[in-house]
Amino acid sequence: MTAVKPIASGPRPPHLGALGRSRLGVTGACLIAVVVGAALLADVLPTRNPLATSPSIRLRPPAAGHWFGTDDLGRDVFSRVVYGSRLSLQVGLLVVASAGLVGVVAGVSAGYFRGWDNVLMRTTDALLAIPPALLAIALMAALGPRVSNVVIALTVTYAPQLTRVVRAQILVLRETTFSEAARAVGATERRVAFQHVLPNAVSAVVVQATVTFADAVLTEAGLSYLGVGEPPGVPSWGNILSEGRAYMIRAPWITLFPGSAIVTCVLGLNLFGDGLRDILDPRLRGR
Amino acid sequence: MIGFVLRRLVSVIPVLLLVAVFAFLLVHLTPGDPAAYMLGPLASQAQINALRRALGLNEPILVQLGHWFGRVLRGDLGDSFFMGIPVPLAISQRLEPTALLTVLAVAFELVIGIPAGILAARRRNTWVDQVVIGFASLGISTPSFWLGLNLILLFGVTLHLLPVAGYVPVSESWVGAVRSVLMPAFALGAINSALVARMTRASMLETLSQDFVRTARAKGISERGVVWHHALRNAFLPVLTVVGNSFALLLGGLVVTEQVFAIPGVGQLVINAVLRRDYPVIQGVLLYVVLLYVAINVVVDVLYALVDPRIRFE
Repeated sequence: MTAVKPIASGPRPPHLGALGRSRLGVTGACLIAVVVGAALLADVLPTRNPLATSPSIRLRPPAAGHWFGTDDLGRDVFSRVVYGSRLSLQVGLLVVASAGLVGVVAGVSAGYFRGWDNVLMRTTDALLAIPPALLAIALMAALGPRVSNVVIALTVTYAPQLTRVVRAQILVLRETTFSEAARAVGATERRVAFQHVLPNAVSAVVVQATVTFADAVLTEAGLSYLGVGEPPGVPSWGNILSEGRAYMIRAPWITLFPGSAIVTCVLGLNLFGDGLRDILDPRLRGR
Repeated sequence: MIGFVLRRLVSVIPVLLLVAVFAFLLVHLTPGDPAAYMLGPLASQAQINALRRALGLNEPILVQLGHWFGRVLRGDLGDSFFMGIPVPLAISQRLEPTALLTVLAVAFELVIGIPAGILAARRRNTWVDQVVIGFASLGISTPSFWLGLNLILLFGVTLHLLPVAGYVPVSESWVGAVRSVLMPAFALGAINSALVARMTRASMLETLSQDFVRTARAKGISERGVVWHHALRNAFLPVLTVVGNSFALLLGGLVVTEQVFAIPGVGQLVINAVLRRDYPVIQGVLLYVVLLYVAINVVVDVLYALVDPRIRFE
């Protein structure tokens, strides 16, 4: 049976090394590297305690000791933005992982086994009919402001899109010659679904996952800006922005830097996603 | 054609029903007793019991769901806990700034997005194209509320051209009303125009590579004629869909943007309701926004079918 597998595993996936030749992909990867680097090296970089207040140095402009200046309580904005990147990336990763899991399980059972197909698709229709930010806000209203609840709310918000992508891929792939070949040599339906069909849907899922990651970071920032995301005081990008809003005229750096951090992170993810899509789907190249 | 419209209308019924179920369940998602949660930590047990009775929380959940559907279908969304007025009234009081903001934002979205997309497609692979693509990528990656904050700094604080925050009702001054929503509308519209520009460009490129365009060129029609009369009409259809879908981003973005500019609209109503756990208002706004969003997309589909007969017979 193992001898058959190479033939039955479908079209060869494109080489990921091609990403190195994609200008979009490389730019995106560099931007992501800056944000991920900051998050990983937060304790090594010259940061201070992001929560430590020092009233004597309130609202200082960027200078040697405080690269991004200080806020209304004398907290170091650079440290807060760096620790904020940790929070945003953690939330984003957890959302992508859990929404991805839901998307694969629901997408395969709807698309391959057709069990619950109608129920699952009507449910995703309904969730997709609610504007994402509003859906997340409504869920946060019911669940209460906590970091874990932000992850839950964003997972419910973004899982339907992933489910749709997985299902659409599976519906096409289950009818291909290589799945037929696998069935012909006696593979069980489960084996065909998970060993042959699902691996070929991975590239589409990965592209959608980068987009979802970017959207999750944006929506998370919006939620905490509104005060319905992470509890106040937690150094998240949205919280820093909303706290800086009142001092924007005297101290524009408090809102400038966390905003730039959000754009860097989301732009990096979006460009990386575009680069991936160009490689994985050559028909879209240059579009 | 009538058949198509009817089929499309029937197809949204299950979606709307499920969204109504979701809005109902929102109250029950609250960990613990929703009545205690709404009243806050200072409430007495007697108050909590009274609210539970008033909300019908002591009945079996399916009975509650039945009551909820009965009320929603009659348009009765209950009263706001904190304002003491029916939810539809609370929404209609806040509707004017939000409606004006939405219309202007869509105008910005189309006026920026479509010409930019056409320009990029006609100058494919030149620096013009690169600039448009670059701005479009930047646009979809920028939070609209942060763009709004920067606009306030530039036009409000530095240049003193526009009011920094607040809203002037139309009844007081038309010009004042437009001026007060100009910046937030631009912030929302510019972000959405990135999506429109991308789609216009892609769709234009697709259309310009088709045989009928080559035929038109071969007949000696000017490039301008080919682009405006032959290609644009065909390329516009996918753009229409993107504009319809972009309302999701717009209606969600409104909530944050209204907060940034201190505009007393429906978005602010929702946020105040969330912070005060005013469930009837949250549920009501959710239902109205979804109804609006679904209606817009039905209209887009019908327009699509009017312009392109192939869709009707699918």
